[in-house]
Amino acid sequence: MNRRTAVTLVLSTVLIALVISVAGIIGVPGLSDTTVELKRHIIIQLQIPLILTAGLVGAALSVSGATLQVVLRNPLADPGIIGITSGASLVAALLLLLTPSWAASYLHYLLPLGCFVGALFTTFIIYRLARKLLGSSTAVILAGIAISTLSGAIIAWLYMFSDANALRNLTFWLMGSLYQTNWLILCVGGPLIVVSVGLQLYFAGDLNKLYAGELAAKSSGVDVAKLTERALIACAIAVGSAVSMAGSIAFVGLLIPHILRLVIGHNNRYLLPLSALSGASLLMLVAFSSEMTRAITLPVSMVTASLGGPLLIWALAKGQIKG
Amino acid sequence: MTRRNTPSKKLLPKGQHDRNSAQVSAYDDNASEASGPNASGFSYLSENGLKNSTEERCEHVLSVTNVNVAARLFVKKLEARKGECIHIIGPNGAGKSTLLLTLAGLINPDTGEVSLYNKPMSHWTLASLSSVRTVLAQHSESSFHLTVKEYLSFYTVIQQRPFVPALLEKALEVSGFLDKILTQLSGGERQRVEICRALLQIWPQLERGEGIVLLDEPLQGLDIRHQYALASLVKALCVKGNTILMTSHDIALSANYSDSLWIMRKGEVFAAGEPRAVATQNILEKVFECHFAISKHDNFLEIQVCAPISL
Repeated sequence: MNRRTAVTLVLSTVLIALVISVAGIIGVPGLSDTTVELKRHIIIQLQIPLILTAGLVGAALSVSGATLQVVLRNPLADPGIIGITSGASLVAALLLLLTPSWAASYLHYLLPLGCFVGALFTTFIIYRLARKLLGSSTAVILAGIAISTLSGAIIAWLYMFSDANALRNLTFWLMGSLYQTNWLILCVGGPLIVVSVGLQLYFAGDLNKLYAGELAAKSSGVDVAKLTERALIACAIAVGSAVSMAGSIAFVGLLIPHILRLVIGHNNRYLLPLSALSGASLLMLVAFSSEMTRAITLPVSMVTASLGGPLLIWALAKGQIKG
Repeated sequence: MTRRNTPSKKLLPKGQHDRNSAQVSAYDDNASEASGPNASGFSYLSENGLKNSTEERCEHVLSVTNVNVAARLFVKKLEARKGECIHIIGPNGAGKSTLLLTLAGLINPDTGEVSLYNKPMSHWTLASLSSVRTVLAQHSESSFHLTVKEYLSFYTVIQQRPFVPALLEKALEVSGFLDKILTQLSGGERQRVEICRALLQIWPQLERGEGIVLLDEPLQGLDIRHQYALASLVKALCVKGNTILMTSHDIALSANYSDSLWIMRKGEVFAAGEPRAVATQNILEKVFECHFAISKHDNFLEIQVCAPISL
């Protein structure tokens, strides 16, 4: 299978998934016998934000995953593994559990902002720490694991001192949920994701040159330090916005790029845009399935991890990922 | 180190092998020698008529003045002419790679200046450098399972047919594994792909004879046939007008396949000049701490390592 057929195949599969999920989500309120007025309200206030959130978050996570893997030259890099997500989650947990009751009504707006700051802050710490310690891309991952372990520990401590309601809120946040958003949050997070994902697509050509290592990339005219810095910041913005909209969603950033590499190869000029589309359609499908089972709200991570685990094992078996 | 008899007819004209005294710039950190490049071994090209008069018009492509890098490299003065084929030899940790990367503009010296085409390296951007010179560095690892063809395509500047130019294919023979996965190649095959990648980066310039190539231990891992094929490719590219510097651990090969030999020890250039002049028993034994048996033949230099001095 040459690249052109592979790209066409992936593209058409993804587009079919997109159409099915969008039509499905929009069509859901039509199944019940509600008035036209109410239907329109549901579609505009609930279903469309849901679709947009799913699409944007999916695109942000999978493109950031693909970029991080190349920038850190480690196929196991993922926004979750290197700690960006956990920084955002920690801030979310702090806000959810420690906000005094009088400020509770602002929490809805504080949370996304807090997550965003948390993601940027952890990226900054990880990057500085890594530069200071070893200056290698492995160090970035080690520092990321350290940071995410630490924030996981702090979140666990917070669990012990919080009431039941806050705990339930927090659990959903940590497992990811597409139902937290509204138009206001979308208006802030949406453009940020579009810009930061766009930036990463713009880096695609330079990212290709990183495959041969830092010196080779520099030899072929890529300022590796600057590229790493910019790509990390773009990832932090994308992931921070994604976490602020939908909580922490596991695995998408690892899963989508790896499966795509198996099918279409490693050229980031194709890989990044297709990652964005596939990530978006995957989360839209999750949203769709979540809409179909409306009695219970499925945490997104539960679905992505259940899908992702077996798929990743398959990718491992095909020899795509080497530890 | 084993003996390698290397007939290289075009390299060393007859009757040259007794001129070592005039050519040597051994101990070139000695100030009087270093101050005048024409007094050092670099002027031999115009003398011996091997290269024609175009060489005299040509500026130095690369030059190094009083460079000092992180207590690892101390070079008073070095120059590379257009079309020159320079091999850099020396023991481990002598600063060969550091010198090469400094010349490539990838390491900024603490003091001193590196100029490329008489323009200080600091005035060149990475992007503009990338279309003038190319670098093969040591130890590049990739943990991604790309195919060789995909990998090479990222560094190819123009889409040419055939994908690997005939001249490169002849020496490197990479076409056989274009569809193989990069990480599944053997060490030597991988090295050939890496050399190919480095050369493809400035292939249009190399074809016009305007390229500068810096290869850090390109012979590493290659089998004997490909070592000589590569050394010949390097010579052939230099004859076209390209300037090539490469480090090597094969003294015999380097002495026979280079226009100029730079011998390094402890971060300094111990001797530099025409191979017949600098690859002498005295210098080699001082630098490599081994006993050597050197015999000069009409068209090649036979260098044999006998035993390490300290053992």
